[in-house]
Amino acid sequence: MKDRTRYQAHFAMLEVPLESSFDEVHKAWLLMKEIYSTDSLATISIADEVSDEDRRQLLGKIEESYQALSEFFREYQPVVDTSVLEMTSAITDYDGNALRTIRHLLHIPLDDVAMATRVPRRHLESIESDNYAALPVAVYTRGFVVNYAKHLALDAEAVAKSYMEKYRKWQDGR
Amino acid sequence: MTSGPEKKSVIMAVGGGKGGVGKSFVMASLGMSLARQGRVVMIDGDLGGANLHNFLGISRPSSSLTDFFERKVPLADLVVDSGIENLGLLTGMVGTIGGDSIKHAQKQKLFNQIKKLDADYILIDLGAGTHFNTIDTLLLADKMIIVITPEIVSIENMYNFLRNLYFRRLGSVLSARGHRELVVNTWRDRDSLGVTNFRELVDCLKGVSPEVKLIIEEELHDFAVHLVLNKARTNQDIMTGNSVKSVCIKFFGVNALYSGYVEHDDLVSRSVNQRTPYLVAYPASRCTRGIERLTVNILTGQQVKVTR
Repeated sequence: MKDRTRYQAHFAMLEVPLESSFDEVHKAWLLMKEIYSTDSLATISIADEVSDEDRRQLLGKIEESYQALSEFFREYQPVVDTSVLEMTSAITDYDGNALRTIRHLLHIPLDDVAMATRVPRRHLESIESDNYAALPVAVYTRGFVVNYAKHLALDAEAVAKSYMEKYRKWQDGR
Repeated sequence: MTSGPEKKSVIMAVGGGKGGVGKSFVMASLGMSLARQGRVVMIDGDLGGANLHNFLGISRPSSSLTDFFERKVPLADLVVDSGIENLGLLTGMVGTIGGDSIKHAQKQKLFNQIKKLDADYILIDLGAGTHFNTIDTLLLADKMIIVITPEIVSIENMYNFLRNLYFRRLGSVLSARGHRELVVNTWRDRDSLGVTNFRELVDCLKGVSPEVKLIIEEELHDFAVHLVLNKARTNQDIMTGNSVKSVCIKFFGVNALYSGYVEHDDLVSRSVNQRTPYLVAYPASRCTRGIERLTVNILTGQQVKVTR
């Protein structure tokens, strides 16, 4: 926390608290860029205060803060061990637990997966806990699994095949 | 009826530039939600167009602020039962005297008596517009709430309202510390000073002297407004609250909190017509849930988490 006070201005620029995670900083950065790079209800109504030049400058500052914080987090975040990748490639039978384990080894928060894949978080949770009853019909579930696997840099087709076998087995047994 | 010296009520006031954005609905619902945790007195400060009672499902009370101004009845004696447990109502006045004709001394007396009301939460619903009586009443509050809707007209009015609010606070703070007229004079001479907008005005004032800079930083660092976005229909609408908050922080230097959003519901106006408070008629609706989240956020200072 002590180190973070040096970055106070950058956290403030992205309007997130000092104790935020990188994931939160990343989201805030995307949000700020969206707010100030496009005309929105909020910015159109304030044209007298904010010129295009103001906005350009602000976007520059937002970028600067994000870069500074990215560096800060890089220093403090564990580096992905290449041996992890070897470990994950050894897995060939994919159930929810396997996917979760791989995700944890890669230090990827579930929210990140949800954001990047646009798969609702609750479905990702159901996938990881093999809660088939809570998942949508097969065609959707397969799509979700494919997207999730791609995000983990896995062989998406192989993962989907393995995962859906278990899903169908459950379905047939109903 | 007055509270002991150790007890202090939390005063919340709602304002906002535009009429019809749902200030009274939000305030009445917030009051009902707070009444589950403590004693609430709601004051309909819409001098001239009081209608808060409609949102509580009751008829206009016979006593009102008019009795305070014209017959010198103590404020505490004018609070009537709203029919909802723990919730008292002090209604405004309609068609007697407008907000314009209230004298400074009367206003001070009103403010003093408001602070002494026996309640955990005192909620003041204000009329639309930027009349200085409205602004001053809002500045009295511990929590200043501004209601907007996702429409340009509402947002533009809100920025204007915020400017007025900040400007008035700036003026009174600097006057109180020996810089009478500084704000007004600076604004009057804005052309020669190269001041074209609000942000430049504040920067210019800070440049007057280190002392003035210090006063502004000391007195206004805790100046915060709670934004409530009403009548949200889409995720985009909900996001708008976040964008407005960001603009307030970055271009007004005002600490804005996005305290909550309330989803649009056609049943609001129906419940008013049926004389049943919305929260009673639809206790499990999404709109009611929004009000409940808003209540918690305003009390704790938490904000809407925007998920994309």
